Amino acid sequence: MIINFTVNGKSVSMDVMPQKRLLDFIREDLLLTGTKEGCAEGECGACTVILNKKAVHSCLTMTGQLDGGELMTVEGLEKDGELDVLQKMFIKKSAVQCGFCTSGMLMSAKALLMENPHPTQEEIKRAIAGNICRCGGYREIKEAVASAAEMEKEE
Amino acid sequence: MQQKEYRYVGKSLSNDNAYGKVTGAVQYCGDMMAPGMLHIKIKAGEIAHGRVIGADTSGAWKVPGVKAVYTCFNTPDTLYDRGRVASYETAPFQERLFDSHIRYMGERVAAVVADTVEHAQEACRKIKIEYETYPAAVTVEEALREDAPKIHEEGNVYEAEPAVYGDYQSCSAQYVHRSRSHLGRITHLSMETYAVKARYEKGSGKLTVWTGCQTAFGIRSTLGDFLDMPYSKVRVVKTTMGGSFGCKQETVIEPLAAYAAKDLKADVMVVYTREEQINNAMLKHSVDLEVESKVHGDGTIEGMQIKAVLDAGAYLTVSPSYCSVMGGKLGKVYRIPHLRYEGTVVCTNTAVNGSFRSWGSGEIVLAYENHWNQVAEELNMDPIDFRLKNVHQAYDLEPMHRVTVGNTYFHECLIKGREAFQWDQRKKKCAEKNKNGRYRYGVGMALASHTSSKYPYSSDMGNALARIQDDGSLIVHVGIHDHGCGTVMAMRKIAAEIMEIDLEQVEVTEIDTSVDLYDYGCYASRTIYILGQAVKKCCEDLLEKARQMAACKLDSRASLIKYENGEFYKEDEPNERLSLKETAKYAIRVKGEDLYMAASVRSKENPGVPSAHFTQVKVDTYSGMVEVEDCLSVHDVGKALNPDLCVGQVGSGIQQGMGIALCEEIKIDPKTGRTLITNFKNYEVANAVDVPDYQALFIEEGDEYGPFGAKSIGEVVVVPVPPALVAAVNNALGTRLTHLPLTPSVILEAIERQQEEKSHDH
Repeated sequence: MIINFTVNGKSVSMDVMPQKRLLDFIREDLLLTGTKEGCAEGECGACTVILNKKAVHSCLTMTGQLDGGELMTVEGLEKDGELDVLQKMFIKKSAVQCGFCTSGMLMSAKALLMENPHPTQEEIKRAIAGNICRCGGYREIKEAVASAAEMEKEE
Repeated sequence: MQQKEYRYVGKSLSNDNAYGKVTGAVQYCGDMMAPGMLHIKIKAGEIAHGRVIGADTSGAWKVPGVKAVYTCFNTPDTLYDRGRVASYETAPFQERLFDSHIRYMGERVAAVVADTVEHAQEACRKIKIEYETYPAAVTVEEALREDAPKIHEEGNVYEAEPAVYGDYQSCSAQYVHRSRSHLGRITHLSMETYAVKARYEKGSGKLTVWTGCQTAFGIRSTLGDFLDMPYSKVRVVKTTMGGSFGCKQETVIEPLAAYAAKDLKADVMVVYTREEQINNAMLKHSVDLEVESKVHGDGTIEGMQIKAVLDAGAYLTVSPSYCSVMGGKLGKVYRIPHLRYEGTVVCTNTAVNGSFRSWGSGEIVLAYENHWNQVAEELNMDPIDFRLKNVHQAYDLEPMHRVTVGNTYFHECLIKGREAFQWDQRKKKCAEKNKNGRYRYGVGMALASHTSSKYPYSSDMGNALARIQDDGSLIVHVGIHDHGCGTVMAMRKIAAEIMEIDLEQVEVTEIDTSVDLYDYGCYASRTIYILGQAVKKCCEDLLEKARQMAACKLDSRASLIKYENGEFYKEDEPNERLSLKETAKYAIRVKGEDLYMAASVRSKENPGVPSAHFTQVKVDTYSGMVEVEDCLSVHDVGKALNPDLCVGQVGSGIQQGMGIALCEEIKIDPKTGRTLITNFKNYEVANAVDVPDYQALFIEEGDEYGPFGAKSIGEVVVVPVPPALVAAVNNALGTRLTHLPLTPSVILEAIERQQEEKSHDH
């Protein structure tokens, strides 16, 4: 099946297996390995990507659903060598430890800020409640998201 | 200790490779694709106990792309042990690649190597295994029975040598108190599951294994012995690790990957599913703990005795050692004249238990901190006051190992924590609020300590090799395994601080057994204390070597050469400067010398790391839910090299401690031995909503040997959290619950029991 979609801003037309998990398609066919598998059942958030401006679990999404859509992965956050403000704040607030949850966290946070640029603390918490971080960096991650929102406000 | 202003040490500079992690550019092992690489999938057995008497693999071979099908009938009978971390260690050696004797439900019975994961998986499904089933011993009670089925020829029970100091039986005091605590199994929940890539090169006969491990040299020795290859031909490379918390200390899946790579002369990859990670890696032990103490009327402890029974699961692996180490950790916090520990390990027909962050500290501290909180209550003493009476002073003897506790500050942890948390005020407020209403409030605290080295369990050395490059930049090879918590960053800071060069000029490589000097592995919280000392000494020695070279170039003597900001100069001619780059070029071109240095350090101490945790909870008496409202951890770390990442570690201790105390448990079906939870759907973990915005306080008085005074933090962070939470829940409800986890159903049951008792009283 030939599908058309954009990935990180680039238009692509590809012959795909529509039943393949989007996670595997992203990693194996698009060779974007920043998206991680943590549980394969939509419970840990490590595989979160943004599809049509919404955060989705790529392990529960089929590749066929990508047709005509807009996909953004962690690799698409950095633009022309400039990090997204969220990425900058994750670094600045030391919100990165082992890093395995980081791409999913970033994508959940990005989806939140795309929809709601000025979230409350409570909204930030809820937006990343489905992303597990075993290094326990929730405090730093929340701070990073709040600072990123603050920075965007200033700009 | 004199506080000096450092350039990098003690500064919050984020994590090493944070840029690579936020852009998705960092490769973890499972991301390391290679052309033509083969994939391994494993078939799980369907009985708890029995024997494989036949395997029909014909269906599997019909699947396209299948390169090998392994079972107990076509693989070596060689025994190995996943828990062995060094070639010289004795270990139970009970495991085989595929054993015909199956000892737990889901144990691997076959594996397929194929061109794709899908083909390997499909082929696995088509393998038919024929079993003869045996009676199973699923619970500890069953396995302890005299007529219990033998899980191993040598029996099901292993008794640890008792750990003894003084004479507990003969000592006496006014009060004798007894308590019991229980810990359930939990999964480490490293976000990255096990992933191993192996390559065997036919031409050279060399094996390379990539793995996000904690013990590269330990894995190398196991693979070399298992495959009968010289260690020099086995290369183990540590890849970026997506969390361990102890599970990646053991050699679980490397032997299978290495065997397949060598057999097929190919690149192979195996990545565990989450189900395999839960059922086939290892879980944290389920432990029953019995404590008895003798305490004087004024609260002074005279003696303490602990008896522990650990469920090892189907294989002993590290459990005998883990059980002994628990006893060794009895004397780290309090001055107690008489101590006794007895530990028993029992094998059962269940998933294997093994290494978990803090290796016994968590279990033993839970037992005695639950106990002391009860004793303080019995004596009508504040738990902090009770502890202040009994804790170690700096340089007290740690009785079990006859070393000192080092420059430790237990009192200060308690006093600073009491003040910062407003303990006394909160305690009072909670009691007032509890007079009526749906919610009950409670405060709790606990104290702990842990190691900074594995000395004197065995000798502990650290090695480093530093090389100044011909542009003045620096490469440091050190046998480090960063768990993601910032140890590489700490090493870079140490090197940059000593060499007085920009942090960006320093590259610290993680362990690769083909180039690094020996290292035991990054466990026992030894990384910063031992490897940090090695890096520091190595850089200091290297700087002296460079100084001598600079003296030659500047026609002077080394003793007259000063060094500042990466430049040498003669004391009397401060304007003529020679950079490290110029020195290195001069050394190579003129003197024919490479500016490198190797250094070894040996630990002579193992300073303790006092850690106090204070917490406040709100218990919903309708739902049984516990909300952690606020908490504070105080850590005597010696010196926080990465203060930001130390705070991060505290967060992980709280996240995991909340799980252990309140919600996480991997239950086993007592009838079938099946692991009942093998996914995240039914496994409750603390998320961003549950974990409060905790506070962290560090006491930084400096250790005399640690690099810039640093000791450790990586494991101790989790240790006092569960007993503090237990105390807070009990404080809220007026109960003495110690059977963890304190799930809503446990709490509701306790409340019901309480109400029944009350109605009986009336």
